[in-house]
Amino acid sequence: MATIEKQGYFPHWSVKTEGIIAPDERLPWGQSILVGLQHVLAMFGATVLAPIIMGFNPNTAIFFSGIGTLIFFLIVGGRIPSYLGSSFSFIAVVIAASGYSGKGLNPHIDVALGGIIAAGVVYAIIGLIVIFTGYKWIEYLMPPAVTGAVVAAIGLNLAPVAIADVSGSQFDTWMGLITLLAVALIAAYAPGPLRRLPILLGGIIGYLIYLLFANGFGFGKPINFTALGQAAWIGLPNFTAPSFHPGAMALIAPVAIILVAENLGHVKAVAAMTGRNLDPYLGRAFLGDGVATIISASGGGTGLTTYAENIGTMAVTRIYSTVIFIIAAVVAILLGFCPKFGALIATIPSGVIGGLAIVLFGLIAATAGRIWVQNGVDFSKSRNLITIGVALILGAGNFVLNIGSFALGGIGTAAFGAIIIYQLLREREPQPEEVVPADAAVVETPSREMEPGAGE
Amino acid sequence: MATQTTEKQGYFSGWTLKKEGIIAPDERVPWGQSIFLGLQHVLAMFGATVLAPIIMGFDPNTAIFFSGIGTILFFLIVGGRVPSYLGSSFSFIAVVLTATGFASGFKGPGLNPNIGVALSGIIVAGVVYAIIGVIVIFVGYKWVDYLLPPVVTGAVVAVIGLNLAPVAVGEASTSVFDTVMALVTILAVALIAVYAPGALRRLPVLLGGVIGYLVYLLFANAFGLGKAVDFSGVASANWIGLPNFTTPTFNGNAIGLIAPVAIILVAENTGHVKAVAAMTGRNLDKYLGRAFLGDGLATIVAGFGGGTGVTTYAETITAYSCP
Repeated sequence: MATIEKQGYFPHWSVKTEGIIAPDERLPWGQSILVGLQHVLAMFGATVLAPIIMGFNPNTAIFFSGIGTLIFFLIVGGRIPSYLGSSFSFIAVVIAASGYSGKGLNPHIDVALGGIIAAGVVYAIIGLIVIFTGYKWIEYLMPPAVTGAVVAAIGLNLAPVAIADVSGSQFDTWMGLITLLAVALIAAYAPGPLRRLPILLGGIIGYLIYLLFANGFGFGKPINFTALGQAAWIGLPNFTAPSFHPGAMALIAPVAIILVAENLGHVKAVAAMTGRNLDPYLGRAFLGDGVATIISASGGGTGLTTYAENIGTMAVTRIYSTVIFIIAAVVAILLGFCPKFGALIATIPSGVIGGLAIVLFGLIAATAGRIWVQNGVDFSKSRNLITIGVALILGAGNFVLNIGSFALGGIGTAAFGAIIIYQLLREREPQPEEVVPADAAVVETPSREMEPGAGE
Repeated sequence: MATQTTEKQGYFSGWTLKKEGIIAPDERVPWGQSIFLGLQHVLAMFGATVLAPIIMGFDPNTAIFFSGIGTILFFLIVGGRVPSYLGSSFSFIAVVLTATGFASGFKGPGLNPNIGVALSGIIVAGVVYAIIGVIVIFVGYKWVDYLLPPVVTGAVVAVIGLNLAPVAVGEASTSVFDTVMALVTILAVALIAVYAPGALRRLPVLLGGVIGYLVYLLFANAFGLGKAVDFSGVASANWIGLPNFTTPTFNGNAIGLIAPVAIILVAENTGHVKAVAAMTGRNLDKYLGRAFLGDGLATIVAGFGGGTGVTTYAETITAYSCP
């Protein structure tokens, strides 16, 4: 269904009321707002969890996720439907670069922000290069075997962070397990659309059980609501200015490569779902995401990336209208102006956060399996086995490479390791698995594969 | 290839002599060739079987001795029906390091002072494993398939590797020279696995290790860029001598920590036996219980003398597939 591209910088969204809504079509405004809110819920859990784990302010992070989504929308000319939420790829290096202890607000957030900006700049430059020279070289450098390994390394490298969150006390450990079970049961058994909000609902269930057993029965450290009571309903987000330290910048900047791999997969997944060829916009997508990350980090927000959660929601609703994401972005920005909301988020106990983090980080790692399977990566070939195996251990074991005063963290060594080893072992004549593009960090038909029998 | 020949009777199958094509488990090549192929399997299992005890601070001599004893025991118990070599299991490494408080990092073999404690855990894991084997012999293996479907066994196998990642990265991070040597060794293994000629391609760990060792010798002992390899232990060692046996010390905590590895061994062994069955075209399901029992007993025997827990080896399975 390759329809003729409409002219002009922005498409003229034509109103449509039923069936598949393409990126350049839209629903009536009332329905658009409802679908927009659904996307806010979809991105919410992960977008708020990432800043908490790094000791960033969640209000600021969600505010900038909205701003970033608008910037992305402007730069891709409203052609790619995507929400930009907090990227998890930054967590490990940000914690390492800022020496974050894991409790409360991160006192050295400015150092991390400088590094995130550096990553954003590299990412934006890659975007510009792709705009001018095309994206084939990226597919050549990062075939599915490599992108899968990089994605897996991100999740595995974060594992110790999640485990530390559930290991503060025995009560925290139990709460982590309960939260994890709640998320799993909701994802598999909750009725209809609720099934698509496992992180949000599982988190709420874990939170309520924690309240009952800690605040009610005194089994654990009770949740303290004084800050929530004192917080204002309306107020400006807390902005923090970055400071630039070469060591932190060198540690964090290589994340740009990971964001490229991630975004490449997401854009291809959206293209497959909408039947539109979005390849011409790939460079602009990188540029938009890079610029959004730079702006976000300039004010104390997290690095941003296109969100798979929202791609899943689109696949299920079959509404790909880019207008939806303006609405979702505006709602996120409004949430950023509500300190009460931030204070509520800050009361989530670490055991519950750890339970959610185990599932989320694990899903990142498991997504790699999907990339390999869908692209038919042949695991009987030594070149694939060794590329993937080495990258997994470098990531999971956090292999740090010190070059002079610069350090490359586990995700970076895994990403570069996978790229270099794969190219060294590459077959001279292209094999089918290598000419197939890295077309999915997200399944093309999540309605069937992710949620068996979901409301159809 | 799936030749449905009739099963031969008797406890042992009685091997028919065959000279070419696929040699089934109950067939054999002439003795001369058999010896040559046997040596190939020694090479295939060698790297991993020796590496596991070194990482845990066990004596590699003792470990390799017990891997041989274990393989013979396994052979007897499965009645020669399942072709398999039993080498050091990597599933024990992480829990053994925790139970013995052995700070991993190569400090020479046999230096783990609490090896006895670990041995007790390995023995109990072997007992649990052997009991599972006996249960499977009597009630069948369907419940194992039900409890451990591929999505679970795959996750368990992945966890074995990933859980060990900090051990490997720790070894490679003690000095800048060590880090560079680790990268050189990784590259050597990778290049050999893909580009080495013919049969050498199947020995990437062994050959990559030898290359890494020689490069290390050159840069450390000759050029002095790193800590030189110390050969005094090699010179003073005898050519022939008994392996160092160690007796287990029973310790409740270590047992609690190590015994659950039995479940991992079941998952691993099921996968390996199914792989061998698919390759030989024989249905080996009915020998699964005996394979568990054999592997469990071999692990118990190894644990009583200072060897590592043993398991059927994937390395030697691939060596059959490309003879």
